[in-house]
Amino acid sequence: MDRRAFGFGLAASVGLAALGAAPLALASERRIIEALAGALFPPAPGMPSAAEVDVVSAVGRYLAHAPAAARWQARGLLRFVDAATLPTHAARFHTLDLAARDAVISGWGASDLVAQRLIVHALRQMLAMGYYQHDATWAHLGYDGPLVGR
Amino acid sequence: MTPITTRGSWTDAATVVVVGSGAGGGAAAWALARAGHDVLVLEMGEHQAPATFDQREENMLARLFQDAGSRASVDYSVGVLQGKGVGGSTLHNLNLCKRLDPELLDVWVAEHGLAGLPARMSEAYDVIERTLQVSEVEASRMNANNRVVRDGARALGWRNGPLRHNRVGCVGSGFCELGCAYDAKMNSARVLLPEASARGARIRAAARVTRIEHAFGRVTGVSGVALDAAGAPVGAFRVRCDAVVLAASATASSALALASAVPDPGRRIGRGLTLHPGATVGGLFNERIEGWKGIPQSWECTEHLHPTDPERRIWIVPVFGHPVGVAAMLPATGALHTRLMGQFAHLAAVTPMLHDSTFGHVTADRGGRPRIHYTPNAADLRMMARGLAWSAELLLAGGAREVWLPTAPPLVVRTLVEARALHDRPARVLDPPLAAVHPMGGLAMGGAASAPVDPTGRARGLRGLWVADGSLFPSSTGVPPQISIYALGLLTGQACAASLSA
Repeated sequence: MDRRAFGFGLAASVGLAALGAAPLALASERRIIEALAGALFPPAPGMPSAAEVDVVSAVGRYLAHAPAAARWQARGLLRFVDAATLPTHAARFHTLDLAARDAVISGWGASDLVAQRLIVHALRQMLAMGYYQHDATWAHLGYDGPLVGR
Repeated sequence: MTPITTRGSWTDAATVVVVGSGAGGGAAAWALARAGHDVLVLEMGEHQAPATFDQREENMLARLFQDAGSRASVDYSVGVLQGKGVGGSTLHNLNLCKRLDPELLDVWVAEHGLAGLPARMSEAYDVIERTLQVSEVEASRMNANNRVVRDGARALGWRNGPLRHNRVGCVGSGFCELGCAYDAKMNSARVLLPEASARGARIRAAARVTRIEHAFGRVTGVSGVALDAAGAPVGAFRVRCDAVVLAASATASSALALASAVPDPGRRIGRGLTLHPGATVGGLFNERIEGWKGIPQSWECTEHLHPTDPERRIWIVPVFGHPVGVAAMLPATGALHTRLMGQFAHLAAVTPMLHDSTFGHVTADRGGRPRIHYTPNAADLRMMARGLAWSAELLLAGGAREVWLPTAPPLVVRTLVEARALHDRPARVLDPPLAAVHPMGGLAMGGAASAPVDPTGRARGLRGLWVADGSLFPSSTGVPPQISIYALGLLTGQACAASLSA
């Protein structure tokens, strides 16, 4: 691991430790989650927005089943990501416009730094659960949903 | 079968405790109960009635997977999906029943002192396959995603063929990975545990073993925590017993042995972990594929898999899921992601799964839960990069108009020439992201005194301790281990039964 990668990883770890330890209510992270979901999975015409399918509540329900450490890390990750654009954009992630958020996420996803790729991977896993579990996203996919209970 | 669930503290006694109720634990309990022994099976997950499986990802991942499917290696380089519930990972797996390659068994005989194992495995396979009614999936039931693999492999002249499954009464819903609501899986929960129960075995759910009790070099019991429906501790339990069969999975069995300070003169407990990781490669087709419908995996491509060839360590099979799973697997973000998901019904996907040469290890956290230490080595990353390229070739030959690779950044190829140019692309950790559903090793069997478990499944460091799950494999199998874990569970159960009767 080179020094830049080590530095980013260290900053991420410190951020997770410092910010994730704070007692948080998931509702307080609503804007961060919706901003991330909008950048990761921007809705096509006809698709609902992250807010419309209440991604925040769905992520909260999912995390409730995860181990305490995973919940802690997830919450710390959200706060870290929101703050990570301050040095580069002089603004928190959730305040950036969609094009800027998309550029940040795609840049990290293709980064040489494993820590940045990891962040995008983790966010995609977590927020895919929050967004695509909602029936309102399915029609656009051509997915017909569960068979039981029809 | 009526598992006991006690939401509070309790004590019990049995001749033998089986820790875990998946393929290995179910087969061991079955063998022990058939031999007339007093068996108690302890399962940390809940007893789940198939009729309650609602086929929704957000619910079933939490119900059937450890850590709601969020488990990963310590460095997050590989996601590790492991099951829970009475029936273990046999509740959510895709029913693949592929015997180990005889050449791999020969390697184990030569390198790990496992003389006689091939013959014993062969007999055990026969028994288990008959009991679970293993058969080849009929060609008429192949879905479009599997036809892509078959047609692509045939077009390329690559070795391919049908897979065998343990399913009876399958309606082809395609929701196998979320549990079968139609109870068509001939698994531990449907077949082995009910018969063991009918022969007197008791099954306790929501009981997580945290310690193997032992004194003066032999097992005296187990202790642990009783859990509520959400997995939170609600009490403690202790069971007195003469023998313990560990079948909690290739990660949890090692962690439990370590947390229990099982004597380990060779210092090998938890070592030798392999994961058989894979990535996901998607192809876009003009026609509708609807990969979520029908039996998910009924055809394989084995052209690039040979048990002793270090340059052929990739097994390619179809893979698909439902919206959450597919969205998480796809490589892209932003508008590109939206475009790909917009063609969800036209997507086919395969996974190149790696016969890994990396050996990781397991440690136990303060609560006795497993921590998975595994970072793919350079040779494995190189082989996985080649696996991505081979998968792209397969999809293109099967009719894809373009193929998306889960690289960083995502790559798209539209011709075989472009795909072949990727054979030597450098791969990195999380490029591509890897996921594993087949952890193996950690309590490897072997003929040498340093191996923690002998060739019969008996732990060397502690009298009365046996192992009956995927921990036993001395190396990656390179293929799905389900039927081999059933077979090894049966062999361990039989050996333990004979020992108790002696």
